Amino acid sequence: MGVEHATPGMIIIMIILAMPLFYFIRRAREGKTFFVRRIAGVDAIDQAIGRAAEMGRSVSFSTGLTSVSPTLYAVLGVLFHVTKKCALYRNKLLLPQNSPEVMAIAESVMKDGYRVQGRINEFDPASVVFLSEEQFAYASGYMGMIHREKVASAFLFGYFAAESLILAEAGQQVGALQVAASVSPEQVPFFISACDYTLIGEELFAASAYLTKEPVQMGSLRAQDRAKIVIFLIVMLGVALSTAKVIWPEINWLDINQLIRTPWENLGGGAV
Amino acid sequence: MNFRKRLIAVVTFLGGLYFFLDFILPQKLPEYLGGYEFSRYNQQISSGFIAIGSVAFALGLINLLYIHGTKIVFKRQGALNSAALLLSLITMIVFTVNEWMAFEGVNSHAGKLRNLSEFARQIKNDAESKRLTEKTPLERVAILVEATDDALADTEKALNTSPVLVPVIIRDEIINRTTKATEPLNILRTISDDSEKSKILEPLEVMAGELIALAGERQKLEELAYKKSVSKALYGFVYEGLFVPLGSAMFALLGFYIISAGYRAFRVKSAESALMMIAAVVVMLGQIPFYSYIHESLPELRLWLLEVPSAAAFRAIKFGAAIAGLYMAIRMWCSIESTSFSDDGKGEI
Repeated sequence: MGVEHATPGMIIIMIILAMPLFYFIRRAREGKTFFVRRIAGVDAIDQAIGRAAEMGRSVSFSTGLTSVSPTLYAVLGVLFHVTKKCALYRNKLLLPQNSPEVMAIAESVMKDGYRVQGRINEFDPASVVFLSEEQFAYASGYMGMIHREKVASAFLFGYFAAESLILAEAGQQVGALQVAASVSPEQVPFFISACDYTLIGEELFAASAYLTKEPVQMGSLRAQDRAKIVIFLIVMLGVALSTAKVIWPEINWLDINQLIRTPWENLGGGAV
Repeated sequence: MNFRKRLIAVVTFLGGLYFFLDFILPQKLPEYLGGYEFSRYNQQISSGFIAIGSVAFALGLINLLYIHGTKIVFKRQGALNSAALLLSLITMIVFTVNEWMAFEGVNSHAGKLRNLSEFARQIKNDAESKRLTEKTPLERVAILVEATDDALADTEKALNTSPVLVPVIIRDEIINRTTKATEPLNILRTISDDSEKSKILEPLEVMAGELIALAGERQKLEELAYKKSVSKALYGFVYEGLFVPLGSAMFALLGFYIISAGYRAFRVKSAESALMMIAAVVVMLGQIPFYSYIHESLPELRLWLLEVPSAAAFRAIKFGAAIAGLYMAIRMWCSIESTSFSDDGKGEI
């Protein structure tokens, strides 16, 4: 259920969740190294680009229906890496776009990738293609592009909806090595069925840290793990209290749900 | 950090701070803290976002024109497709603007009558309360009479020249309301002396009521004409007749793709894929109407699979993604984002 204004309980949880971020980023900047488990899908990114270079065919990178959001910034980290590699191996990189705002940002990132490799003159603005803002028009445009270019590798990173399988099947039909990552769990089964590698949920956010080993991202990744432990403990506490409430109903147990949802006005004194 | 990046960081932080405070603080601060309402500027800020979004939309249009325009000009491969795309784009823009203008016309004629009704009522109220206005009540009545004459003549003309067959009920109602509005209008026309000022009140009240009723009938007349207009038909043809079915056709492809993807996914290659295959079969069999021929418990088992293990996995994914999204948002807000997708000031970003 969406809320328009945070309750004091929510603010406390937000502070508890935000604190590890700053702490671990500081630790990472001080030189502390953190272990990141192997993510097969991220390892496959370089493999996919190498494959395209060997075959002399294009690489495509779709951000799907991602709007300007935290997800997009996670995707841009991967796009930057893919662009650098493509620039290095002189692969043609196609960037079909659904949103004009995202297109402008993604084009800048792509240009920067070429610049970092010292190959800005090889950047082709025509490879960033605005297809359509409409979901299925975008999907049909993407399919056409994949079939015409016969891409060797396709990356599907970001937010996807019902068009996910259409995009993934297009790559499958031309025999592309596909790596997908989506934050929408509903689309994950489609990607698992049709793609070679799939990053699930937060692995999309971890991908950039995994690729760059950059302190801010590594610290953030470690903080995410700690925050998940906090969430896990809250869930376990909730389960235990709910169970206890059923077994011993006569005892007045702490109601976590109510504690979190109590609005400002119930605390007294606040005009709301 | 160069000046441009610093400026972006400051603006980002202040923008984020506004929405953060808007979210965490009560809708209205207590009086002893100034009683400030954070959300009072939300409408203006949203309008600003819409304006920026409109500018970004032009980027998409420019990109399309650049990519497909160069293909056509230099006769590159696929130039014919590009020409078809640009032609479709221009056709769609022309038809949509045309339809939009026709739709605007529907409200504008009726709106004129509503405004006149409001004006009549305002003159009456001002005259009753003896409120001082720039023009005298009789001068205002003269303006009203002139404008109403034009509006009634326009409505009569619209009725007689309507491109569609107007239903008798609407035609009679318009004639009836026009006649009824003309009666007080004629009375108002005869009043020219300030001593008769009090006589304008009743005709103004009657006229205001008749004009508002006439506005409703005029709206119906215009809507009728709009629904049968060439603009609407052309727009309907390209949008509802072509664009929407093409989208549906793409969506329909999903059915076939699910079969081919399902075939690949459910091939038993390992213990995990066997488990997935079994779960999928149970879910599918539990969904069909004649499950009872196989096993009575199939629907319950299906429901359990969906609501317990599957929902748990979904929630775990959502929790993880939400926390990662939150951290990414904080990093962007505080501009502690790394060099992961830029060359840190060496370039244009």
